[in-house]
This record gives sequence, structure tokens and C-alpha cells, in this order.
Amino acid sequence: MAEHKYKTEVALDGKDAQLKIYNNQFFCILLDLDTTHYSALEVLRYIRLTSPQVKIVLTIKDKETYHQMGLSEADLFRFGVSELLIGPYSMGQLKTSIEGNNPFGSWKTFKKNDLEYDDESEFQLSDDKFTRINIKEFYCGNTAIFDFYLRLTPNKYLKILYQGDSFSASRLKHYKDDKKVEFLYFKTKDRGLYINFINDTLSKMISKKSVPVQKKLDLTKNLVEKYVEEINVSGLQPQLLNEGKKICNNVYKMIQVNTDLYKVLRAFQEEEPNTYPHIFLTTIFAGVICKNTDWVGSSVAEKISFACMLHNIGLMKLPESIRLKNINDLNLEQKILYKEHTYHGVQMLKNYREISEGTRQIVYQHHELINGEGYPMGLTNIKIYPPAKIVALASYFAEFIQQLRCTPLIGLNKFIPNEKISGGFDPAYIRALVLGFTK
Amino acid sequence: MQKNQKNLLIIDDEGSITKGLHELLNEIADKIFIASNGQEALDLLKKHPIHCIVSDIMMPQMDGVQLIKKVRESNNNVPFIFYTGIGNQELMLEASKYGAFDFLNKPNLIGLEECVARGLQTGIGEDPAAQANHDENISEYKKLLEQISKKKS
Repeated sequence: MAEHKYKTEVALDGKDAQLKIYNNQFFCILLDLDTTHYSALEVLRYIRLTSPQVKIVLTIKDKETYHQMGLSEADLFRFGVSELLIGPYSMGQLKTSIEGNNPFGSWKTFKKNDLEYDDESEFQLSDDKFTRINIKEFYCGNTAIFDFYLRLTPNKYLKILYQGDSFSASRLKHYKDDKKVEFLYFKTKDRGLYINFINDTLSKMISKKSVPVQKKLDLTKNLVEKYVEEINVSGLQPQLLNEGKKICNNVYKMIQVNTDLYKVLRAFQEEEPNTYPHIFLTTIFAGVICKNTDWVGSSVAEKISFACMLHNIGLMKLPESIRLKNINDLNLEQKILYKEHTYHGVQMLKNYREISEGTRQIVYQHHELINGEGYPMGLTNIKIYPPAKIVALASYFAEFIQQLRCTPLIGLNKFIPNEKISGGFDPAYIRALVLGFTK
Repeated sequence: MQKNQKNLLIIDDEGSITKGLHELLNEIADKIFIASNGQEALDLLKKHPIHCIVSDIMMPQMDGVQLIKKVRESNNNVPFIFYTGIGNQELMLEASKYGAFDFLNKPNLIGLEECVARGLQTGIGEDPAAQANHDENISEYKKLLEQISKKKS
């Protein structure tokens, strides 16, 4: 393992392993089923109780070993094993078990082209194969991680950057300023790579004071948009769920670290109403509430943030005629169907080990109001799952300012005095939201 | 019994789990009661003041939903923290109707200690969020808003 740049600790038996786990923090634990002097299952139980987040790869000589113990694969996962590695296995398989198979991260191994090309080639390609990105929000680092195009006419594209090309800021400026290009395009199949790339970039820049908060927020907004698009097309793949968790981690850090975030929040939508998508606004507002709520620690904040990204996933089950409309514009029958989206959502998130029960409950309860007038259950204050109250407020307030096409500050000034509306939300969380706009 | 003593009740039909949880939560709660089924839990609730309950959702005879329903019927709003494995998620949705305090996944139980600590605080009536006077809150955030608006103008 050391040859492959892993920093390792070795334990010769179960007791030694528990001692090392007690004294150190590990990213991953390789545990052999034949472990003695405290069996592997005892060590497993100890790890799950003391270091629940650590990844456990259980190595097994052969399938017979655990069958003889009267265990099935399902039992081992139930006991908390993250990955099973049945012998004989290669170093590559071991590394994949430790780090996961990550095709979204394949951009990291792309080679930079030695020569710079500035040729542009035209392609006749169907529009539905492309994803667009606003040129003002475009970020690709020093090297193009995939091909980029301009759209000439419907189904006709001009390739302007090849994968591996050096990124030229002046060339981009030329397209933006001289040619008045608004959007750049890339192949939809590359969207996962893009999400992974921006996630990585964000995590590196989030604590850097030299990068303006506005830029970080724009990148996050772009990332969230592309993430939601990808989920809508590809569904809830495990790898995509991991990217979602990374986004939440980035959002959490951004809100914690950037003390001047409040200035940007005040100006949200000032220049252009409805610039920001609902899910992005909900995630940011919920993050702000979490920051100003004492009992919310990082694990709860990330659970909330993840739920924000997924809270409306159940809408995908509804026909467009309902899903794309505002609830106030729906007739009674449509409203009933619309309100089922929380149930659809929670059902869609069932059986994903990556999604916690808490996140599912938030998705289910994000329209509950403390005065009992919410749905799906009409719960009152004390019965509502507290993190769901936070998402309910964030989501409602995001929708509120989007409908009024106003900044959050103007929105708060209309929202707070209106007790018929604000009375549905926990005052402690309204206060936490307001605090997000103060220094 | 000391004033403000925080009593926790752990319910699970698997002894190894209650033992592990007892070890883990020993320093958070002042006294821990153990029940191996719903009926035992109800008996303990009658005899002792309990400020938070950690329970498996899937148990023989009386599952977590039946238990919380009975507890709520007796006008007891003690915070319930349920945990579940994959496959019992419908029960969790049912439990949410009766106001569960938190929901965790087996086997990791990520955040359990933090959650129990807050559950006990809420159960004993020390939760600052629950105690805050709503009217005071509203007037405070109105003032905050005025301040922001003044600064801005």
C-alpha cells in the first residue's frame, strides 16, 4: 500500500485494531474476516459505534468462508461493511474498493495538448445532445476538460475548444465581447465530468480570500443547475449522489468561511430578477439558517443541504402541466396531485444507502407548517422534524422572492409583517435567516 | 433523583446493540434505562421520568410506530430517536406522523451522540429553541431588519 502512496497503520489482531482505531482517524479500514483475538464482526461493531463515517473494506479469502459462518453478503452490509473484496483480488480492485470507481473524475488524467489549435470545425449534431452554459459563468481552468462548442443554428455546432487544449482567456473574451456569444455548449454525456470538475475547483477556492464571494456563488449556482439537470436525465446514480454530498460540503464551508457573504446575499437578484434557480436559493438560505442556529452541527447541516438539493425530486413524477406551474395557478384537482410530490419524493429516495433517513424525512415534510396548515400530514410545531422546518422556510422564502421578483431584503420586509404567511414558520429560524443578512 | 437529571431509554430486542449503545451514550445521559421490547418500555415510562428515547423501529410484538402511538396517546411528548435499516422505511414514514425527534440509519447511526444530547435537552425542557418566546423573537428580527435597511440606505 505504501508503494501506492497510502499512509497506513497495521494491526495484527482485532484488539490491536480497536486500539489503533481509538487512537487515530482513518479514511478507510481494510478488515479481514479471519481476524482473531476479537473477531472481525466484533471489530466491525466497534468501528460502527465509534467511527461511523469510516469506510470499511472487508477482505475475505473466498465466499465459502462467510457461508460457513452462516452469513450472507446482505448480512455483512447490514453489519456496516462498505465494500466486500473476495479473494483473489488485484491491486487495482483493492484501490477501486478503497476509493470507488469514479468515471466522473477521469478528467484528472487528461493530458494537455502540446500544440495549441485555434481551428474551428462545424458539426451537424442534434440539439438534445448538448448542455449549455452561460459564457459569463464559464470556468474551465487551464485546460479544456472536454470539447466546447458554439451553437450556430438549430442542430449545427462549431467546435471551438478541443479536450486537452490550453484555455485562452483572450479567446473567450473575443467570443463574449466581439461576437456577442451568450452560451457555450458541451456534450450532455460530459456533464458528470463537469460537475466533478467544478466541485473539485470549488472545494479548492472556497477558503481563498482572493476569490470574490460572488464568483464562488456563481460557480455554485452553475454547479447546482447542472447537478439537477443530470439527476433529471440520469436518475439517482450512486456516483451522482456522492457528487451531491460534495456540493453540500462545499456550500456548508462557503457559508461558514466567507464572512462577507451577507453583502452578496443582500444583492441577490438586484440586477436581474430570477437569476438564481429555486434549488440553489433554497440551499443557500437553508445554509444561512443552519449557520445561525446553535444546535445545527456540520452533519445536520449537510443532511439539510442534501435534502434541499433533492426536496422537489418528487415533482418529476408529475405531468408537466402541473409540475411547471405555480401551485396558486392550479385547480383543486391539480393541487391535490401537486401535493403528492413529497410522497413521490420520499419513495424515489427509498433504498439508497447514500441517502440518510433524515434527508428522506426532510423531503417528505418540507411543506409542513407549524400552524398545522401544511402538507402532507398537517403536523403542528412540535411534531415536525426540526431540520424539515428549516428547509420549509428556506424553500418557501426562495419561492416567495422569485414570485415577487425582488431581492431577499425586500422579500423579508414583505414576508415578516405578513403573519398569515410567516406564522407558518418557526420564529427562531426566521430570525436565523434575517441574521444571515447582517454583518 | 437529582434535579435536571437526564434519563434516557434505549429500546432494542438485540442485547448486543443495547449494550453498545449504553457504552456509547453513557457520558451523555445521567441514567440509562434499557428495554428489550415495547411493553417493557411502556412499563418503564410509567415508573420513571424519561427525557429521550432511542429505539429500533423494527421490533417483534410491538414495533416503533405502535410504541410511539401509545406513548403519544398518554400525552407524553418525549423525544423519540428512531433508527432503521434499509427495508423498514415505510415504518419511519408512519412514525413521523406522531412526531419523531430524529431518524438515523443502521448500522452507522451517524450523529447519534449529538442527537441524543439535544433530545435530552428538549425532553428536560432546556432546549433554547423551544423555550424562546416567539413574540420576542419576532420583534427582535423586525428590529434587525430595520437596522439592515437603515444601513443600506
